[in-house]
Parts: sequence; structure tokens; C-alpha cells
Amino acid sequence: MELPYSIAAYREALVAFNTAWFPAPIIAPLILVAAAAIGRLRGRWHTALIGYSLALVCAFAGWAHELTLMADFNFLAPVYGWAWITQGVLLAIACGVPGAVRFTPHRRRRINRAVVGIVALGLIGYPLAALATGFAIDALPVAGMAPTPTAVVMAGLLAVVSGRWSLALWPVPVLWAGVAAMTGMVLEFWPDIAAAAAIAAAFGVYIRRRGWTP
Amino acid sequence: MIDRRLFLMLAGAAALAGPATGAPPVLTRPIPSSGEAIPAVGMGTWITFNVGGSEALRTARLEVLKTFFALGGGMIDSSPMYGTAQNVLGWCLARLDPGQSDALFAATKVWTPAGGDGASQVANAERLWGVRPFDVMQVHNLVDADEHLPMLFDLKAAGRVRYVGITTSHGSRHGAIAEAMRAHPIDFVQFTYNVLDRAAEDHLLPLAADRGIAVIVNRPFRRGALFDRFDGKPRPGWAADIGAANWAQVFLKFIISHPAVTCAIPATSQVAHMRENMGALLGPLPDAALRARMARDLADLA
Repeated sequence: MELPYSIAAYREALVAFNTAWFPAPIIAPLILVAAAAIGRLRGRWHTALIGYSLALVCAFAGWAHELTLMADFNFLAPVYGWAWITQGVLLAIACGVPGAVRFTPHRRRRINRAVVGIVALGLIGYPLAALATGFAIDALPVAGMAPTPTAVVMAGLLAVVSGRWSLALWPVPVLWAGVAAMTGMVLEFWPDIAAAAAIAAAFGVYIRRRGWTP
Repeated sequence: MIDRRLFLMLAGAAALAGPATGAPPVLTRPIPSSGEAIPAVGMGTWITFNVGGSEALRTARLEVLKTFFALGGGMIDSSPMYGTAQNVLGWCLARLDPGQSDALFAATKVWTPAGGDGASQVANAERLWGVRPFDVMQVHNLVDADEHLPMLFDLKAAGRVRYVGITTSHGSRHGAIAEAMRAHPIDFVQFTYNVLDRAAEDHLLPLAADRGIAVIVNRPFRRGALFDRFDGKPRPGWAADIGAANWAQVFLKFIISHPAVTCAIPATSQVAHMRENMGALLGPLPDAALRARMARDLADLA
């Protein structure tokens, strides 16, 4: 399996991307921090606030990162971009339909701590890992801008979602875990492999919560 | 069209021709359909030239390109599938000194996996490279070949394209490629062939020779995997006999010494590796007996 670009080319492209969109690389993760913080609360509007925040960053990452940045590098980027935009639209619609989705902290603290850990991995761990592998500070892929850390944060939050539409919100992040794993192996970029594992773990939490067992 | 007997005579002669840039004489091979000679080692651009808008990376690729032409290079192969590779190539070609790219033998492809207009891809390639007519226009991985080949033959008749070809890679679709080689009057065929991936010897290479079709070899190093296998291992004694100073030259000389091969197109992003690759254009090539021995020894060493 090969990708049509190198990790060096991607790093350089991210510098231009983050610079062009500044201060979005700071604002987008803050939106997700706020969404995660709201997730600890219970209230009439907290599902809508979390859901619309996630929808916004999903659609933005799909459009900005895949359709405008990666489309030049990777012939599959348009497919990825539209998948993320669709995920954003689906989230937004789900938040407007009564009973479709509910973000509810798990009754077990251990599960909630795991969810917080996964969200923190996407917000903080992934960019730090990229820094450790040689990405410059202005080239860091951050949640809300790049799909992989966005998928990790989203998976963490979806792990505590319930409602009759909740399962429909998982195909994109789960499939993206596959894309991230493949990308990580081909480009020898281990943070992507770790991200794939985190998304899989979050899906496992969701499944256990639904009462499904192998 | 040159027949097989004449083609083998020309291949056996292996004319040495000096490139326009004044570099040392290099090994060339004739294109069977015309007799035109081109250097036997060219350059691919898959991944290596897909560097987007980065000025730093483009400048680095410019140095690779300068080295390529200075050391006698001719054929450069690309494709719309390769992201920004054609953009970057055009950027680099526009920054060469006058005369530096006189030996350019431009090869690219039409690729329409989701449908689309092959003719507009040809026009786009002309614009990006700053080249017209293109030397070789190929149907990439035989995608929509039934639609694109008639269009390309029309362009050839009109003088927009000099040669028409088809491609595949990774050892796949050899049956379909062979069928297309028999069915259409193509000038070039491109497929994978290297010291470990030798399936093409059984059918495609002899068929190309029989049909008078020039052969471009892609993945001569298995995307670097051959170096992972052989780097650090001592080169066998015959490497010195053929003037191979490094593993890249061993691999390339094995490929271009096959009488049916016209040009191998290794891709690189580094000047030092380009120097190694182009060294394969100099010095002796193995004969049939030594090729067989090389294949045995390298299979044992791998």
C-alpha cells in the first residue's frame, strides 16, 4: 500500500495550512475543549451545544483539510472531505431531532475517566506526539482542523452518547480509524496508529454501554 | 514500424550518444516504432515530486532535476494521479537554464477513475509542463482505455502527441496489458520489472519485443524495498565486472540489460541518489549469462 505523498510534503503543507487559517488552529481545539467540558454537565441544552460544536469542526476539517489542502496531494481526499462534511451535517440534524442523540456521562467513573483520556489524547496527546516525531510547532495537526485528532475527540464524546441515532454517528470515525492506521503504517507516523487505537477503544466503550457483548 | 529482428540488432548495438548538455556519453536504447534513441535510465515522479506549494521542497526537487539532466537523463514520467507532481515538474522545468532540459523526453498519462475528459488532461499536462507536443501519452493502469486510446491515436495523428502507451504497476493486470498490446498499435508499454519481480520476463517482455513496443520499467527498486533487503550486504564480485558502484546501479543494470527494455524510471527526491541512479548509464552491462547469475545470486541473498 502506498500513499501519493510523503510525510515531509505533508508537514510542509500543514505549515502553510495552519498559517493561512490562523487563528483557527487555536480556536477549533478550544471549541472542542468547551464541548468536552459541557459533556460533564447535565442540562436541557448540553446535547445541542456538544453536538453542534462537533458538527461545526467536523464539517470544517472535512472542507478545509481534505477538500482544499489534501485534494492537491491525494486523489482520495475529496471522498474523505465529503464524508466528514456529511458527518457534520448528520450530527447537526441529530441534535435537532428529539431523542435522536443524548450526551450522558456514564454512571461508572472509570468509564468517564477513560473517555476524558481519549478526548485529551485527541486535543493534547496527538499534537504533542506529532511534535515529538519532528513536526514544527506551526505544522501541528490539531483537533478541529485535521481529521485524525478530530476523530479521536469525537469518538471520545460519542462513547457516552445514547439515543436512537447514536449508532449512525459511528461509521465515519470508525472508518477513519482504518484510514489513520493505514496512513500511520505507510508513512511510519505512529501517532496515527495510536489515534486509530483510541478510536477503536472509544467504540468499544460505546458498544459495552449499549449492552452488546461478543 | 521496425520488425523484431532489426529491433534486436539496434538493441544489441546499444548506441552511446552524448546528451546535449555535454555530459559523458550514456547508454541509450531505440524506440522500436521510430528508431529514436533515448537514455536507458529516466526518472519517475510518483510521491517524490508531489510536494505541493512548499518553496523549500520545490527548490530541492529543482536540484534533483538539474542533476538528472546534467548526467544525461531524458525521460521523465508523471501522471495526474500523482497529486501536484506535474505542477512541481513544470515549476522546476521553468527554472532551468536555457538548454538544460533539451534532452527532456516528456511522458505522462491520462487517468480518469471517476470518468472525465482525457483530452482535457492532455491539455492540462501541456500547460503544467510547458511542453507541446508531449513525447509519450499513456493510459494509466488501463483505466477507460477503450475511450482514451482512440483519442490519443487521434492526437498522435494531429501531431499533439508523438507516441502512445499504456501502463500498469505492481505486477497486476498483465493479462489485460498483453491483450491491449496485441489489439492496439501502441508505441510504449509500462510495467513493473526488477531483480525480484521478474514475472514480466515470461510474457510481457517477449511480447513487447515481438510487437516492436518500447518498454518503460516502473518500480525498479520496489519503492525502495530492494535497498531495505540488500543495503549492508556485500555486493557480489560480478558487480565490479559491470561497473556497478552501488546497489542502485546493480538493480538498474539488471533491468536495462534486458534486450526488450527501453528505459527504467526510478524516482528519487535526493541528489545523491540521482547520481547513483544515473551511474547505471555508464560502463558495461551484463550479458544473458551474467543476468541469469545475477538473478540467482540476488534471490539467494535477498
